[in-house]
Amino acid sequence: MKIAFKNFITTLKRYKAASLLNLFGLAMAFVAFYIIMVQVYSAMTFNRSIKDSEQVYFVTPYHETLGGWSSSIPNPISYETAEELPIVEGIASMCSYINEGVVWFKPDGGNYEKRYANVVRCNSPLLDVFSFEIVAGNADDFKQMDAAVVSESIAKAAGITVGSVINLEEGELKPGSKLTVVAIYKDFADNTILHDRHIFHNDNREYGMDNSNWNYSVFVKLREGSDPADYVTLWQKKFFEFNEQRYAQYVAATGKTLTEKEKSRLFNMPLKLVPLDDMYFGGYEDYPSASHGTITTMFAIVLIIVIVAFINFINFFMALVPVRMRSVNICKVFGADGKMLRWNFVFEAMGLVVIALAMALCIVTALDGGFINEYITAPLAVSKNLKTVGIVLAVALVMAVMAAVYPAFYITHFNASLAVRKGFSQSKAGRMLRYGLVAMQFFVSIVLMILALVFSAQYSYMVRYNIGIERENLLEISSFELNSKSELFIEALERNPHIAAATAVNNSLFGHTHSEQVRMIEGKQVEMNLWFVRYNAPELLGIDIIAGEGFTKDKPGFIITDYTAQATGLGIGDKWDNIEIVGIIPHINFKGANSPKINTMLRYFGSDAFAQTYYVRLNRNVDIESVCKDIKRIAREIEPEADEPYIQLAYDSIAEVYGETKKQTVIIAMFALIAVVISLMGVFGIVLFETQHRRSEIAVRKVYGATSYSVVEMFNRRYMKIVIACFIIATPIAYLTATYWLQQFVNRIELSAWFFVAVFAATTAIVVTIVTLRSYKAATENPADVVKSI
Amino acid sequence: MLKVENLKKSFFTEEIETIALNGVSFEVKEGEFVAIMGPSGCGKSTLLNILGLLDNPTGGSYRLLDKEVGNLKEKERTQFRKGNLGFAFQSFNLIDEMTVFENVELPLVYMGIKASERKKRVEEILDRMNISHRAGHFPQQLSGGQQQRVAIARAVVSNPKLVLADEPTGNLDSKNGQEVMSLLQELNREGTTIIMVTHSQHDAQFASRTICLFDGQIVTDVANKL
Repeated sequence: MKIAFKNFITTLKRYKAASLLNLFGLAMAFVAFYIIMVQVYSAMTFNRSIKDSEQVYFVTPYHETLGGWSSSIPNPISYETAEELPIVEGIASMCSYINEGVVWFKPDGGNYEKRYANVVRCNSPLLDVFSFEIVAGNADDFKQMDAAVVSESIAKAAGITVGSVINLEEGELKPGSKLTVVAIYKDFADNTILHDRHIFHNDNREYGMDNSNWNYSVFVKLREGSDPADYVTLWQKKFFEFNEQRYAQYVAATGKTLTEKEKSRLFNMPLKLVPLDDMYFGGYEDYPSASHGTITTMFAIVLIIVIVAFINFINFFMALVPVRMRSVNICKVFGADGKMLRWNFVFEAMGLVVIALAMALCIVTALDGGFINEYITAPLAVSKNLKTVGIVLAVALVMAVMAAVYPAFYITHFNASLAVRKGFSQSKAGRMLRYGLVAMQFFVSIVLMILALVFSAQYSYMVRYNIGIERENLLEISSFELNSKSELFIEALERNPHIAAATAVNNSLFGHTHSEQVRMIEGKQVEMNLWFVRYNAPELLGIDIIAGEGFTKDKPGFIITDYTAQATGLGIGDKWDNIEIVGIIPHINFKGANSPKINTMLRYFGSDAFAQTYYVRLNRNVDIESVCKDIKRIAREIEPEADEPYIQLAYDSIAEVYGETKKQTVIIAMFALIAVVISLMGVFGIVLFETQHRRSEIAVRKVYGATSYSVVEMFNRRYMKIVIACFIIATPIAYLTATYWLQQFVNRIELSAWFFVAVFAATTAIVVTIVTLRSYKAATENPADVVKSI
Repeated sequence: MLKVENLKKSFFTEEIETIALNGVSFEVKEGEFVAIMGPSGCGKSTLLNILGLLDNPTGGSYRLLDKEVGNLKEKERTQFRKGNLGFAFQSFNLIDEMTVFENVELPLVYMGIKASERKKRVEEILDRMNISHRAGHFPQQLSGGQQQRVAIARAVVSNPKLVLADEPTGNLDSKNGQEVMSLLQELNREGTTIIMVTHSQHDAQFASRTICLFDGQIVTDVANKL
């Protein structure tokens, strides 16, 4: 061991450049591997820390409007089903969405203090179904209406104890909104659906006990060994009966009937029970999710990166063979046995990997809390991911041994007589192996670079996609606390000389929150997406009215898109919920480029309405920073207690709609960059060795008339052949992968040849630069110095 | 063929100046076979590198083929070497990754000779050196004597006017050494001018003239009795 360690230190000192390149490549690969493994492990164990998670099921019906499985379900039918089935051990409900925002806490005897928290309405059995671990107070007290349980972390941060009072209103203590904290529970793990829900409010399903209410998620806990299909069958039967009753009432009231086909479609609702353990990959709205495909892709990419790094590792080892051959054989001549020498090499490999792991640990610690957290949902801290650390360590050491064994056997299998010979040349097969490994690195890099370029182009296309509004000089202002004074705020904004106009909407037009309604029109079910706006919103947003008069200040009304008019048969003068349709506008799509055309309606209440978002059209060429300061000042003047509003360009707000695509783009671009850097480090190292090893060859060539240029060209030609071959193989694979990925987008870019040309040009430029830089020194060396030193 | 006058070469390392050649003057006529002898460090290899246009002198004049070549730039030296000079080294300096044929072909490639002509000339010279049966082998697969014969074949394949040999038998046993020297003598008889650096008195006897160097200066320059 002592000798092996000594040899390892000597090797590090002697081959500094190679060791450093090797270490950096490995460290980068380990960082990428760790980050992705954290994410993968978190995804694979999602919800599993909840006690009996395998017995708890999320009840999800297929929702036609969403075009997918819904997070919410009518409560009464679900509870009636549970009551009739002995296999159900428990059933609980909670609002699928979270009430985010300002919450006022009143610790015992103190004054109200303002905090931010996520509050969820639920019923009391939720504590049993999810096995809440109560650390203070009594879980039974949660059965009282308007009782609350609070997470330990929030309780600590806000100084809340059992008996504290919480008020959900914005500073104005209205009766009925007070919650009393009855218990404090231990926080759920980061990778659970309950992690980002801080306060559970027992509303006793007062709001949810209606079969037309689709705001609650339902969870059932089945007895061990039960078949979830029993619940599904009974639920569907009850849903059918409920609709039959409703239909009878509809026929009696209107005299209209539905066709059998329509009845079948409306009365039969697909339903499934999803185990909590599998919820993460279901993509249910309002709950954290990821696709199997994304996780698998990330895992595959990172595995490729690790392989690319180990290819470098093997290549460096193999490249060192000619220079180390002599010393190995001299050791043999003086009595070292093959086993000991091979152990030295394996020890050396493991030593390098251990140093690289230490470097990776430092990099991960530095990255934690930085930009990377925007793209990774799991916490990065090593202390929170000990199992993942173990996996990375095991993989790294196993790969180190695997990578070292072949070169170790190779270098020690030669006859010791080679020690006395002056030169050693690797076999053609050995050289081919080395170039083959470099080729694999190029192949991976080229594919990833093309994909990164395509992803980035698609993201950019989506951000620029015309969604039907004029987005230039448009600011979006978010404020939770100005809604009661929104008109005052708008008037004050419009007095500012830099602002052309301002308007208000209930929520960001480009966010997730909007209203969905289903109504029967002429015996047909019509699904409508609504956004609540101020009367001047269409004009401010640059939306033309193509029929009707549009909104007027004193009258409520609806504006629909031309697509909606065509799809539903609705027109000017028709009514929706007894309110008149006053205008038709060209198609707008606030959901962005990746959404199909949907029925869209703008609603104006006819007077001041609840508003949390404002849009401001700026005059041309104004200083945006200065206007933002003005807006914040105006907000402060109107509501001194309010938090500073959040202001951003509408362009950025629209870009956030494509957050998932951006995430994928950044991740693939980041990993592509890592793979490319590691590959280039490999090429750099190989060229470095080659130029050293081939010094005499270069000198002889120069003696016989080769110029420095021709030597550099010779090296470049060799690597360019590899690049071209790799490009030819990589292109169709990248093309097929990119085409497959683009299929998910409703509006997508065409795969232009320029993506491939650009990557080829970039790869060529980088490789030629590196090879030229490395080989130029060898090529310009005076051959006389070399031939006499050989 | 060549004439050097008051040739000087110094090497500078930090503050120390080492004089390798100190006012060397001699002339070599076409068809001569000149041996340069002397103890280690006397400047033999330095002189050979300058004569072979691998290095420039720091002073004096060097005329080769009626042209002053002492101050040529590297590019010009490279150009001048092509086809005019051939080299044989003590350690052969064959390229390990190339076959015998490819090694011998190398100077012709850099002279821009067509592939068919190259093939013809390489086959001829390999035949003449009695190693045509080894044309497809790699240097590591040959004995020392065979490797030096390949090196000499490479040195003369372009029909150079001057062949420079640096201790051509230094790495060979006496039998192979004898063969190589006979080969060089034969080439000389056919008209090739040869300048050879050697430690061996025996090898020097194959030359028509011997120049002895000591501390960078010529101490003797005598014709040999053949």
